[in-house]
Amino acid sequence: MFSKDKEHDSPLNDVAGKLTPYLYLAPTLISVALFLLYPLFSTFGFSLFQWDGFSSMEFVGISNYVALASDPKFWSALTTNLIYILFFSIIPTIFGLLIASLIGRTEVKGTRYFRTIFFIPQIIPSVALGTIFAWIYAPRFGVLQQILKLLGLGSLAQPWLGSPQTAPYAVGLIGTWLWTGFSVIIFLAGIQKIDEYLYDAAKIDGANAWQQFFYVTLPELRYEIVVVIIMTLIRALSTNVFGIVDAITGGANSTRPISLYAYELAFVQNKVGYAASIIVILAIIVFSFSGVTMLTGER
Amino acid sequence: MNLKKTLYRLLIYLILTILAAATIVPFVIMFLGAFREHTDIILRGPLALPQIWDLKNFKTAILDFNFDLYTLNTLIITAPTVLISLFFATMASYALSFMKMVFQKTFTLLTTVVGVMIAAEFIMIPLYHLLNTMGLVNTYWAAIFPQVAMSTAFATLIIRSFFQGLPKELVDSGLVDGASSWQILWHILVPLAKPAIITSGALTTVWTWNSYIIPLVMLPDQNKAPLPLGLVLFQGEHTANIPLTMAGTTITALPMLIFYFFFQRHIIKGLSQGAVD
Repeated sequence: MFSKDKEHDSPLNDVAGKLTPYLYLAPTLISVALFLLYPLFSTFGFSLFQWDGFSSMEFVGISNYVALASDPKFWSALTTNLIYILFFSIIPTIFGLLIASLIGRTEVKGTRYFRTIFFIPQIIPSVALGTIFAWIYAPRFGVLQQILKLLGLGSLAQPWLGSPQTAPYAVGLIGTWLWTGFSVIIFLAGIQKIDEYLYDAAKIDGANAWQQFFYVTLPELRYEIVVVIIMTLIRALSTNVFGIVDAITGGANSTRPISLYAYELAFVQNKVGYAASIIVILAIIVFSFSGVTMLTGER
Repeated sequence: MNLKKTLYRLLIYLILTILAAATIVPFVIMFLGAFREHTDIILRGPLALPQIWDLKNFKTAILDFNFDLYTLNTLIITAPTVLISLFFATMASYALSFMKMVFQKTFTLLTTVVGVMIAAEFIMIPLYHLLNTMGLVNTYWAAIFPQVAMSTAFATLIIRSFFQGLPKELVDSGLVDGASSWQILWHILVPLAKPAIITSGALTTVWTWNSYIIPLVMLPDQNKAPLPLGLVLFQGEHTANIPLTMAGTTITALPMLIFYFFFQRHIIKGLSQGAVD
């Protein structure tokens, strides 16, 4: 009660009395609620219906989810996404940790320039990365094929994007290329904040370089590790991957991630309710992975 | 011992240089490829330098394949998105940082962290039907509104966090001088928050320019397609012409590369901080 009186008295409430703060917040709150939160919950609602997008909706309960479980295309997309998680998120995180701890506290001149370069891929549209790497991997007049020929390894050349055995890994490597520099920079910044005293203490205890890495660097970097994993994970499952794959293969040869499969179902095949159920699964995967990573990081 | 140190340092530079080269090479390939001719790539292979440095492929991409239109569409979508979201986010951050509300914590979470975590594909299906009901599908607004919502959430995250670090006395001193709440925001707080506002603006510019899923879903009319969407439309029809595809890719990516070199400090900070907050 007391604080309510104070609110009313606040001299900043000069536009519409007590409602003033809500007036300032309204445009943001309304946009977020209408264009983000409502569609997010609505996706779940849609997933309980059978709907082609035009005629009337038919409530079908959880049967979209039941159908999903026996849809080979869904499982194939999920497997592909797991490969992407490995290449977009886990490998860059490991590479970043190793490279950053190798550099450690050594003073490197020109870090600023390296950082500028390492961040470049982050500001390039995913689809542009897709068209560039489509040429790099191309089976005819492709860049990689030519480089292998020059190195006398021409026999290794193959249509990387043309077969389901290699295509998801070829796309995955784009992710490793895209995120390793980023993760090096984040971890390097983190390492430079670690107290030198911790390393001295470890050395006195006779810890070798690996032991210092496992007992000092890793635990001290847990916050940065969480940040890098979550950022790359969300991209590995969503936006990044969607644009790259749509431009590079259109989803052919087992490169289609869940997000692209759901897009095709909803907007090409008009299976709106079914597509929504796939998005719900995707959202659950993203949020639970992020949640688990955050909890592990806090310990 | 000293030699060992020098060698170690050399190794570090070697690794960083290799990594930097690997990062840049694909863009060099793109750029050089855009100046080649298709027959030249067939004859002399993909790694040769261009024979003549002219802008022929860029001209073709722009004049015959609508890349001028795609660029214009991108600007029409990006400019209002960034301006509107900065305006909204500044006001929201003001209310969340300096004023008292019920459910303040809930509102803060919803308009920052929760909003930032909602990716385009989570919402694309109902969003399409919502905007269709509003009669906006195939208008620029259908691409702008959702992008505004996502950008505003990110900008609120950054600007609010900056406002939190400002002393509350700033507002009090404004009140003593007889300023209204509106004047305090725009004349006292906003000038101070410039770095945070520029950081948010730079990143939302990049993300809106690069956005693909929202325009793909909302703009079936190819004449309204922004660059990333236009690039994929073009590529779908002319995959075989490598130099022309690279010219189109350069037109799509180069503006952001240039933008990045002007705002790199802000973009790098925002990219690292966006995750950290």
